[in-house]
Formats: sequence, structure tokens, C-alpha cells
Amino acid sequence: MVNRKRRRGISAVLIGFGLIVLILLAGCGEGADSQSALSGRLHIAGSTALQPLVSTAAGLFERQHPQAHIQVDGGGSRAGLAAVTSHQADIGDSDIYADPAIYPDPNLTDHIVCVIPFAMVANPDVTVTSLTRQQIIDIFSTGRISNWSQVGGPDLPIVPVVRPQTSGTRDTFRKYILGGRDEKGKLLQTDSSVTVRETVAHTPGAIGYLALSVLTPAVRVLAIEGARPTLADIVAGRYIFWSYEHMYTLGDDNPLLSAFLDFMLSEPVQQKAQEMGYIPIAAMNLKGSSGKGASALSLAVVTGPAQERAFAFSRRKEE
Amino acid sequence: MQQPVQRKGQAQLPSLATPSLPQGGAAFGDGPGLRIRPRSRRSGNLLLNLSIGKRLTLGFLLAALIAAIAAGLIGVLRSQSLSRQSSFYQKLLSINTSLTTGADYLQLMNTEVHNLMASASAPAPSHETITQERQAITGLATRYDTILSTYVAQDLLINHPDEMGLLAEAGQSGQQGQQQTLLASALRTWHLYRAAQDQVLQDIAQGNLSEAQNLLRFQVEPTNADALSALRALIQLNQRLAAAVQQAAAVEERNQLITSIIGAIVASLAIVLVGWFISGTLVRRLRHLQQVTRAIESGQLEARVTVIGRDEIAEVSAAFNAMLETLLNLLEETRRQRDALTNAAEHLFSDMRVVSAGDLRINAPVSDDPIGLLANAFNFTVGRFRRFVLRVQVAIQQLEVIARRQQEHAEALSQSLHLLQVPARSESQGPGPGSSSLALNERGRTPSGTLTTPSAAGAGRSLGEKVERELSELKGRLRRSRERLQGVLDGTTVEQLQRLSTLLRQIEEEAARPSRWTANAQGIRRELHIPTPLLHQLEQGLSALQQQLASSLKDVDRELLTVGQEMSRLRMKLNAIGGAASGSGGGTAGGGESAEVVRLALAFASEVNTLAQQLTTVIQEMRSSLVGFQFETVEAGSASSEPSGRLQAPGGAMSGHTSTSPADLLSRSLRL
Repeated sequence: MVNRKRRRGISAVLIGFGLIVLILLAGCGEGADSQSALSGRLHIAGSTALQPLVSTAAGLFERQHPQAHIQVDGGGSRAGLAAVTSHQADIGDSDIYADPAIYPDPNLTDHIVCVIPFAMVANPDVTVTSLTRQQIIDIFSTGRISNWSQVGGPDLPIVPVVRPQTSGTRDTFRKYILGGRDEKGKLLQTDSSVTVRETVAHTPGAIGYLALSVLTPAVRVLAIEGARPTLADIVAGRYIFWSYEHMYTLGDDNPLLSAFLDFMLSEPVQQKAQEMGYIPIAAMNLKGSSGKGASALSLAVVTGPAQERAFAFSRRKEE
Repeated sequence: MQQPVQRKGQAQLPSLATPSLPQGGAAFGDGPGLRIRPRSRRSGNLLLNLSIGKRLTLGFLLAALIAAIAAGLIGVLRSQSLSRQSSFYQKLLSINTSLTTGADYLQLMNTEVHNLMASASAPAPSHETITQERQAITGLATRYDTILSTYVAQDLLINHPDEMGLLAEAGQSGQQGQQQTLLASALRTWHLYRAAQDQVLQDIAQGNLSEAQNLLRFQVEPTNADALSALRALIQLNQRLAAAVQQAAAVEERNQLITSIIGAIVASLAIVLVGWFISGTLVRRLRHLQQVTRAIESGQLEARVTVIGRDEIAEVSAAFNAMLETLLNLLEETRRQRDALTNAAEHLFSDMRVVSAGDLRINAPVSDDPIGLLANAFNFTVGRFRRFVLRVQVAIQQLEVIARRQQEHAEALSQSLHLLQVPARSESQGPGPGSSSLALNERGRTPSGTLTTPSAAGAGRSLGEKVERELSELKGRLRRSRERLQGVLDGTTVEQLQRLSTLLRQIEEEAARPSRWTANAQGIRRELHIPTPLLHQLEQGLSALQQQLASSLKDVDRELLTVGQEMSRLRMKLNAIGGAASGSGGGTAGGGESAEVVRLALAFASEVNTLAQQLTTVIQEMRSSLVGFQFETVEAGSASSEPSGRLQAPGGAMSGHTSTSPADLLSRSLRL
């Protein structure tokens, strides 16, 4: 009798403890649970080079979170930066860095989501496979080379296709290829990588530059200094015509915003990026880090398809 | 409910049967289960070998230890996480400082390059200033390079797992990738800027001012902006990391709360378990002890406590078992004694039955117990009785022999007298008056009467007839006395013996009753008491018989005395007749005949006299024995010392207890 009574007392104490624990755990768990019910709208504008990836990612994201609606616009990197700093968009996609002098807002936060390689492309009629940096400067800036025959190609006048000033790709081209020099040539009215591709494809002797994400066999990829826009060459530092893809935000206190930014870095999207011609950011992370074994491993994993593709393009071009 | 009562009755036995206690004491000494060493079943539980006090101390110490460990662990965890957070925070702060300094360097470099440009493009350029500014730019670039390389070498999150763990707790695990990316972008922009800056410096040094100006404007400045922007992104990341650390701290705090609660629960559970375990070792066994006690209370005497361990409870259990063994042995001993007494009593009663059936040869076995004492008394009584009866028998036989002899003598006398009578009648016909006077004398019973008769043959003849008549009368008396003796032998004695046998049967019945009783001490005492009154009765019956025998013997004695007197008178008369016959000198033949008769008569009278004397002695002898017996038997019941002392002297069995009667001894032994 005594024992039974005592046991009842013990069990009462235990049940009390258990209840307290359950209540506490439930209180703690609430924060984590609310993430699945993301809802709201996101407006993304900017780089046309990044636009295909962001659109795809937004579709995937909306499928995961039916309550969330993400609108993705193009307009160029500078337009994207202007939109995000003026609160017209939540995320501004950009190929270029936001100049602190132009965008002094300290809340403007840089999120690098991937690397986009750019390629020098020429009309398929042009048989030249590779150009040096100086040759490109001479073609685009100084005008010393105006015929493909000067660089070992057919006797065709070179038509450089120049992108408008809002283009991030043009900025990158100036900084990394032209060394800050102006470019001269056929100026396009709209900033779109696709327009560049179409123009180059249909203009005999035309040469231009575009993001690898919009590359099709309709144009011929030219190597720069013998290096191709492959992951291996980029990671090794041989190929310099590439740019980080930035997604600028004004702070990331919005849960939907931070969720989408995390989603951009998640494995499915990065996989998608690789399929679409981008280079996953994980492949670039290891540059300069001490973990060389790990970097080699990551490269081996990531490189394959992109390299294949790049080579495939060039080979097709050669044929 | 009957069982316990009975057991209580049994339990009282040993205290009463004190004489047999030495035996019980022997059982105490070498009984196997009495002095029980704690047969400790060595259980795996070493706790049970500790004393209760030690065990309780151990329990309290364990509980305190558990509580201390739980509290200590929680505290250590908390301090660890706190120190981790604070160190990380401090590091982030210093990184922030260095990176901000780096941003200043970048801006300074930009300014210095412009200054250098201005100095170089001045109309009269000062080589010293240009060199100074160039050195400043190179120094700044080197320093910025150092900052970045230090950052790369030391502050990458991926090289600090604990910091990454902290961030992972805050849900910011993607930060190390972002850090690397941003660092890579900062390095890239920096290298681009540095290349442009070096180009400008080279151009200025070569005097290629316009190209340097161009480069400065279109390449150095944008790349500087890029580098600054990339650095700013890194600084922002650093700030985000700081926020993440705070977040992680909050998460950690929550985790710690949970941990401490769980720790408290686990600790209290452990303490409760320890307490339960320790108290279990006490309570369970005490309950077992209680159960066994109850079982024994309800009569299951074979129940025993299992002795486990070497603590106080085990000792108590062992002592309890030992006590039970002792009690049970005592009970067993008592039962055995009771059975022995019952057996002895039954044996004695069967002996009594045999005695009642008439066999006086019985000698009941005598033992040391109360029944033995009773049997001894019984034997003694029976022996005395047997001796008495034998003596009576012998006396009677003697009397019979004597009486028969007397009868033969008397017949011989009567025959001789008859012969004498016939010649006397033929010789002298008229002794009428003489004989009548003699008859008168005879009737007056005056012995001198015979002397007065100067009788002749007639008188002699009438005298002979008288003598003959008296003799026949005497013979009748003798026969009567013999008959009376036979009556004594047959009638009264048999009757008395029968009465005695009924008495004995009563005793037997009385004795048969105790066998139905439970043989406890009181019962035995009672059953041993009861035969004593019966024995009284028996002895009273015996005394009555003896009195009757005495009285009848007295009657016979008196009868024989009168016969003796008659005989002596007759002899004297015959002597007188003889004298007269010789004096008168009547017929010689007749005188010779009568002298013969007288002589025979005298011989007969003397013989009868001796017979009477013999009878008297026999009777006296019998009386004396009867008198002795009478005293004993009458006085046996009472506790007076004198007769019992006389009784014991022939018995001899109680030589050790001369001053006490058997009954007294019996009752005293029972009372003990």
C-alpha cells in the first residue's frame, strides 16, 4: 500500500516534468515551423545574363512555396542596382559591383550567387579560333585590326557588336579585356545578351561577347589567349573574362527574401546553374583557400559537363 | 482459529514438564538449526552486504554526486558556449577593424594615385615628392595585401569548426561559402586594381602621362570602386556574422535551457532511482519479513525468511529463523513427551484391566515420569493385595485341613462311642435316673454334675447317649464353622473381589477418558489426579473386604472357642464318668469298654483342644496380617506419615523419598 502510494507520487512528479518539457519544446519549435508557410511577393530586376537562372529558380521556389510569388525582370545590371536602391525591386541582379560612390547606402548587401563566364563570339563564317587580348583591344578599341584576314581568318571586315552602357557584361569586358579603354563598333540599342547573339549570328564578320548562359551553336566561340570559357580554365586563372553574379538587396530581414537567397545557393539551383552554363559558386569558393585537395575534388565533380559543353561548342565551330 | 489455540496449549507444555527439560537442553546444544549462522545467500547485490547506515550514506552521496555532476555539466556547457561566443565575437570585431582599415587604405591609394598624377603632370615635377608618393602607394598596397592575406590565412570560417558549429546552430551554415566567395571577389578586384595601379605608376615613371591619365580615369578608378565594393561586401558579411553569433547565442541559450531542464530531469530521475533502489533493498526485505511473520501467525510454521546479505535486516531475519527453529524444537520435544506419557498411561491402564480380570501377577513397568510413579503405587498395591489374598488362601487351606482332621477324629470318636453304646445297653438296662440326672447336669452345664452321678450301666448308657448327642452337636457346630469359613472363602471374598474388579474397571474407564483428551500438561495432571480417588475407593473396598474377613474369622474364632470349651467340658465330664465307672466297679467288661471310650473321648477332646488352639493361632496370624493390611489400606489415601511410612518399608521402591507418600510425590511432581 505504502509502496503503491509512493509510486503514484513518483509518477505524478515525472508526468509533471514531462509536461513542462513538452511545453518548452513546443515553444522552441514554433520558430522553426513557420518557414514552410512562406508567402508574399518578390520583385527581381537586373542582369539579363543572370535572368535565365533566376527565372528557373523562381519557378522552382514557387513550386515549393505556392504562397510565394516572384516576379523576375531583366533590364541590365545598372537598372537592377537602381531599382533595388530606389526600393522598386527587392533584389537587383548585377554582373558588376555596386560602386560605393554611386550607391552609398550602407544596407546595400552583396550576395554572390554564381559565376558567369563570358565568351567572345563571332559569326560562324569566321574561322579564327583564338584571339589575344591585344588583338581584341585592337579590334574593339583602337581599330587597328578591321579585317579577319589580319588575324588569320577569311577576308571579311570585322563588325564589333557593342552593348549599351547599362550592360554589366560591357563593364566587365572593358575592365578585364580592354583594360578600361572605350569600345567602338556597331552599338546595339537594347541591352540583351540574346540580341547580341542574334546580331552576331546574322551579321557576317561580326564579333561580340555574351554570357555563356545564352550561348547557342548559332555563334562561334573564340578562345582568349588560348584559354576557353571552361570551368577548369577559369578556376586556374587562365581565362579571365568572367564575372560574379551579384544579387543586391537592402538588408535581408524579410524572411521570404532570405529564403529565396538561400534557395539560390542551394544544391538544386546550383545544379541547374551548371546545366545552364553558369559556374556554381562552390567551384569558385576554394580559390585562394588552403584546402587544395578539397578544391580538386570539387572541381572534378563540378567541371565535367561545362567543360564538355565548351569544348563541344568550339568543336562545332571548327567544323 | 482452533489451530492457534491448540498451539498455544502446546507451547505451554515445556514449561510444565520441567523434569524433562535437561533432554530439551541437549537438543538445544547440538540441534542443527538452532544456532543459525546467517546463511547469507551471496546475491550479486553487494549493497546488501553493507549496513543500512552505510547504504543510506552511499545513497545520499550518490544523489549529491549526481546533482553536482548535472549542475557542473550544465555550468561547464554554458561557460564553454559563452567563451566560444565571446571569443568569436571578439575576433569578428578585430576583423572588422582590419577590414575597415583596408577600405581606408584603398581610398587612400586612390587619392595618392591622383596626387601622384597631379604631381607628375605639374609643370615642374618634384622627383622627391613623386618618389615619396610612389613609396606611399606601394606601402599602402603592401599593407592592404597583408590584410587580405592575413584574412585568408586566419579568418576563413571553414578553418574554424567551432565557429561554423556556432553558425550552424544559428541556422547560418551557408555563411562560410559566402565568405569564401566574397573574399575571392575582393581578391580578384584587388588584383585587377593593383594591376591597373601598377600600370599607371609605370606609365608615370616612363613619362607616358596622357596614357596614365586615361588609364587612371577609365580603369583605376572603376576597379578601385569595385575593390572597395567587394571589400564592403566582406565587411557586411562580417557584420552579418556578428548578428549570427548573437542569434546563435540566443539559440544556444534556448538549447541550454532545454539541456538544463533535461539534465535536471535526468538528475532527479537518477536520484529517485538511487533512492528507490536503496529503499527497495530495505523495504522489500522488511515486507518479506513481515509476510513470513504473518504466515507463521496464521499457522504456516514451515515458513522461513530468506536471508540475503549481511546487514541488520539479514541479522534480524537470521535471528528470527533461529527463534522459529528453537520454538519448533521445543514444541516437538513437548509433543514427544506427551506421547510417551500417553503410551505409559495406556500401558498402565491395560495392566489395570488385567488386574481387574483377576490376574494379580501383573507388574507394571516403572519409569521416571508421573505415570511411572503411578504405576509403582499400583504395583505396590497389587502386590500387597496379592500377598494378602495368598495368605488368606493358605490360612483357609490350613483351617480346612485342621477341620477335616477334627472331623475324622470326631467321627472316629463317635464310632467308638457308638460301639461302646451297644455293649453297654446289652449289659445294664436301667441307668435312667442317673442318666437323667446326668442329662440334667449336662443341661445345666455343670461339669461337677457328672461327678454326682453314681451311675451304673444304665447311667453309663444314658451318659454315652448324652455324650454322643453332644458330640453330634459339636460336629454340627464344626461343620457350621467350616461352612462359614468356606462362606468367607467363597461368598464374601468373591463378592468383594468382584466389587474390586468393578472398581478397577471404573478406574480403567476413567483412564480411558484421558486418551480422548489432548495430551497437554493440564490434561495429564488431571488424568493423573483422577485415579487417586479411585485408588482410594479401591483401598476402601479392600479394607471393607478385610473387615468382613476379619469379622467372619472372628465369628469362626468365637465358634471354635465355644467348641473348644464344649470339648473341654465334655472331656472333663468324660473324665468324671471314667472316674465314676472305675469307682463303682460296675461290670468289668462294661468298665473296660467305657474306659476305652473315655480314653478315646479324652484323646478326642485333647485333639479338639489342640485344634482349637491351632485354629486360634492361625486366626490370630491372619488377624495380625489383616490388621497390618487394614492400617495400610485405610490410611493410604490420607497423607498421614506413620502408616505410609509403614507402607513404604515393605515396598522399598521409594527408598530415596522416605518421608513422602507416593500420592504426595505424584501430586508434587505434577505440580512441578
